[in-house]
Amino acid sequence: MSFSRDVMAVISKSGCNAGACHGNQNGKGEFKLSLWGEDPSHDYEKILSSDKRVNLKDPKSSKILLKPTLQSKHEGEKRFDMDSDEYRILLEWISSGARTDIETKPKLESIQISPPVAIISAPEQRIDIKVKARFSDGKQIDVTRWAVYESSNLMAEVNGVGNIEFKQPGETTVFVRYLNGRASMRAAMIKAQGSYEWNGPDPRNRVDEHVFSKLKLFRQNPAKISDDLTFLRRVSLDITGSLPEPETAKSFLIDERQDKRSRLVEKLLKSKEYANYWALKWADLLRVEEKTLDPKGVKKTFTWLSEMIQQGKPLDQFAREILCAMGSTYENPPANFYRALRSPVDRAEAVSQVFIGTRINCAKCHNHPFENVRQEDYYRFAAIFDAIDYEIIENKKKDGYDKHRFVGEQIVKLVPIKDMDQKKVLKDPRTKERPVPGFLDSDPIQSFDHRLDELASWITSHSRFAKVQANRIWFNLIGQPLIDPVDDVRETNPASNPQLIDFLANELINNGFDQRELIRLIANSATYQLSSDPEGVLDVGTEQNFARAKVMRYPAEVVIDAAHQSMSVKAEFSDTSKSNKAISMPGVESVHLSNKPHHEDRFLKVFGKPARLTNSDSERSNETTLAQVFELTAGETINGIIEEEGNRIGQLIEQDKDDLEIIDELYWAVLTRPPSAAEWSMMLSYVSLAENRRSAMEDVSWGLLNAKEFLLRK
Amino acid sequence: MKQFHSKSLEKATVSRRSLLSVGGMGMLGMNVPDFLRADELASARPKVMARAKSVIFLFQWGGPSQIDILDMKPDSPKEYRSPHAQIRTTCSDIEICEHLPRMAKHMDKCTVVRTLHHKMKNHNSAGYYALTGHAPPSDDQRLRDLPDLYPAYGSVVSKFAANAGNGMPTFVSYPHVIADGSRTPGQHASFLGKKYDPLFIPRDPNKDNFKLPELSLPQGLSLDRMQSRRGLQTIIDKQSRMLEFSEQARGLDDYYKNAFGMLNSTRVRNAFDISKEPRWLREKYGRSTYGQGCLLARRLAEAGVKFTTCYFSNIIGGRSKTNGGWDTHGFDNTRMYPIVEAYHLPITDQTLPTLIEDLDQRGMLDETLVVWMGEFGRTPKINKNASRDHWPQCYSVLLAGGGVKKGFVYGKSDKHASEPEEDAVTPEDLTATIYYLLGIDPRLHIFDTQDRPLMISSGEPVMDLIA
Repeated sequence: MSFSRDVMAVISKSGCNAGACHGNQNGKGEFKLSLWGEDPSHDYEKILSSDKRVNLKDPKSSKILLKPTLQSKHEGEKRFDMDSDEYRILLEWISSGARTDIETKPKLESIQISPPVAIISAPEQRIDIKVKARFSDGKQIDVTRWAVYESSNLMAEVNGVGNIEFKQPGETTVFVRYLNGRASMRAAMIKAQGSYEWNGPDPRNRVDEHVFSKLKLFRQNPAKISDDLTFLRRVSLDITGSLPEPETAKSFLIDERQDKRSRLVEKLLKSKEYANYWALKWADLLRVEEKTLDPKGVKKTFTWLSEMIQQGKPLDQFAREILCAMGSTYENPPANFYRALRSPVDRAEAVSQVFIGTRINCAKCHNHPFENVRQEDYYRFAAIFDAIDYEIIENKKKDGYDKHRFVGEQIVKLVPIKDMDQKKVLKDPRTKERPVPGFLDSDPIQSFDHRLDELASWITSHSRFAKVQANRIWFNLIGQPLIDPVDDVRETNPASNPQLIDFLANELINNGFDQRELIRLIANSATYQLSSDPEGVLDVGTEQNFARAKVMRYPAEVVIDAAHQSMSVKAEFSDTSKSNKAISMPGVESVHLSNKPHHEDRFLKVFGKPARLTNSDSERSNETTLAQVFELTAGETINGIIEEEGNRIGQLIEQDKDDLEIIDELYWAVLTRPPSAAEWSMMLSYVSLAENRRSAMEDVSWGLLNAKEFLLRK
Repeated sequence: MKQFHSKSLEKATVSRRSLLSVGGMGMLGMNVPDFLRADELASARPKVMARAKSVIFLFQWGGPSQIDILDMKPDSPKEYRSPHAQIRTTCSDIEICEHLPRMAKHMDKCTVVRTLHHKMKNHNSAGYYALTGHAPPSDDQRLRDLPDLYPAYGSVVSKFAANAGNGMPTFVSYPHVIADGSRTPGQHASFLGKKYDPLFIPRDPNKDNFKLPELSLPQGLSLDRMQSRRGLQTIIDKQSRMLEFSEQARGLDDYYKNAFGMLNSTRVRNAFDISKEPRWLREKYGRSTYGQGCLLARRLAEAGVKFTTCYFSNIIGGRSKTNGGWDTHGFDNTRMYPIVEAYHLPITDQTLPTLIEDLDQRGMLDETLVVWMGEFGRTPKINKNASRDHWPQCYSVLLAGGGVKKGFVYGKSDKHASEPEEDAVTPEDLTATIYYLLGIDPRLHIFDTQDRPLMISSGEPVMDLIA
């Protein structure tokens, strides 16, 4: 029996080295194994470290046989039977001297799953997969029995020998590991053959071709194309984070030109709001927050981001400017990227996550469980950033103990090798040695002093760069990323529509990394313009397959701005910049760093405006909570807007409008549509029966601002 | 990688049918998918029986001294010994500080752990450790409240054992956000998500007009008028059809139902209405913010809140006889003993025994776990200011009710209360014990911002202190 092949496989297969068991960083019951068997030498040493655990004189009384078979007490319960292959392998190995062959045995090179994609249709429910391992001596072995299987979706389960069983039609990713090999495959079960007939619109561009071909495969139909006003509202909020004014909506509705929708997209892409809204998204990712950058640095950075987007700076050049930014954080705003990231490992993690969608921080403590990033790769990559340092021109912080707070200008600089402070040289904590700085795929850097240029070239030419940027743009428009989470691009996390993400990434490369061009492509597709309402469509598909528009809560800033704008109330936020719109608020200080936040800041926090302390897209929360509903019902923000004397209600009353006109105008302003006949009559009777007309109009406004179609994307 | 479920490793212990029957739970708590995920990932260990229905966590910010309160060493040399004498209590194994005579009468209902220990010497890092049971990444005096830090205990409870059907929130905290220079991490749900945040009440329960902001409508807005507004909202929602076709919209509407349910519920309103308590009892707890906070905690436990955190103070304090926490270094020419004698010890002797007695008299003590602890203890050796500095290496915690032993000491410290000598307890173990008592398997997983599976506690329950 081979230790490195058979025994290690048994340990993984039985789950002994799982994170909840002995693979935990503290081990369990004073026995620690490496997580998922990443370090066989370590495991060999631990297993042999006690002669009770492996008893060479009396193999059957070894703890590694007694415990998993429950012959002696085991908190982790029974792992295998005494008449199992697992038991037999361990016993034979111990009986023959419990030797290691880690150095001599051919290494695992890769594992392959067949089939790589599988689709069945009901009533068929089962898919059987096989796993083959290829070793460095060229041998290929079927390891289906010894691989470990996990399904990403509860609608399908995988047993220990690779049989996937679906409980209902749907899709799943099956993740497989064997020794240190990782692979995944996608499996799907579709509905039974029947009277399915394609009933969707014609594709308008390649986006639709990819989306529709998957729908056809799953025997599903898309919803109908949304009406003009729904489209206007959705695309305005998605591209500019801002509501259309009633007049804009009315003229869009009567516009009879065939291409009015794409004209609208063009107009939105030229607006200042587009630049600010997408700058907000980048500011979230780049940790643009006042504690480390100070209010001036935050404002400079936000303004710079907005200008870059307004100018249409190609995304690869944009990335390069950030990655290579040196100098004064006041004079060269992108230098704030490194100002925010105070240590080499923080910089390495942020750069790989934001720009190439690679989450490497697992590898800080152990080899990455899903990726080919080893701990040494992590430190090698981090070593690229250890020569970045700061000249702190001044620091006017009041709290001397707070090493995170900086108030004042700093110069970010790349220190030449001869001047490097030896204490700041990054060391691999395991070897205490300085790693050779290099990229994640192991190429070392060529020139110490041009390391950041090399980094920028490596990043922007990386195949995941275009992919993660395209995925992010798609996510920001459609609400559902193709690769989920947005910034977790890897082989073992396949896209829900691989052809589509590849196409979008290629488009981005071919158009010279022009974000507007990709937005145009997506917003003009039939897919983007589909209704969220599936009414009247047979075999309608899901939001996940992009068969209908995704319904989701709008971001905090969009909701609060829309509430102000629709009620014609001028906002003034309490941040240093006294912002009038939340989407163009440069930082987060008033929301997250203030001891006594204003009620509007509390509103933004409750609705999930991030504190910008990670570099992850997922720091922003768009979930709905009870606390948010209390903000909307009893909170000062919404009630304040409704009650403000000179708001839209006040203006309309001032203009002597009658009840009908006021109700009509409020509907257009808040919901971008006229009231239906039924709504009109009900609202009208509510207002006319009320004792106080103004209060009644406030109640109507509250109803509109709390309508699902106001708060949620429709 | 999101939510991988391996059938071979994790057995579901709850049937899908019983899952469906919990569909109604939602009040500031969990929804069905979370429950499903929690359960699917529960380890194979059989379900833990809940001993405690509620936890009242009284957090002693600033760090009370072990050697002056619960672990006195009267025979140690003068430079270590407390100037206070120790007195006998109703438990023959426990003697405590002479300034806690009322507490002494109730020690037969308590367990004292004398060997809690860790390495964090700064308030924010140690505070985070004490509030979550997880070691901070560094011992940083201004530890940042990053979203990849662990959630508060109550948030974990909200996720795995949310209140079902009693209309009350699972996790309530008040009356301060605690901070030392910067906000202390560990007070909210962090990466678990906003819906597990506490219902946080930034108001003083000792004030006459104390009310839950969520249950107080702006001036001039009657409940009737709110109902009319809800009616108008319903008309518009009907027109858009969103409730018919969107799960999102229905989920949001459920929150409106809950919110209006709470606004209309006398039960919920009453639970937070501390003015309903008889005057003599309010006086007995003491008319202080903290005293009334302890009383409110009992009221909330009674109404079904599972986890209530009451912070002793907003700041670490230690230099004042009228406010602030336990951080008595003797700075600014102050002295520890006159301060704790005038402020901290009297308020503790008024509140803690009153709460324990009150719970006991109502028959609630057996199912309500009271935890009284700070982020660390204080230096065994008296400093040059005749005061004591930070000491995480060994300090004491008081537990009462909720299934812990009565009149029991767990762990023994050395002669100066400076290191554990027997049965050392880590914050992780204490956390595991609290979860265990609540019927929550400490090995359950939660997922951080990177979707890494993390255990809610990496410690082991201290079975010896459970009755």
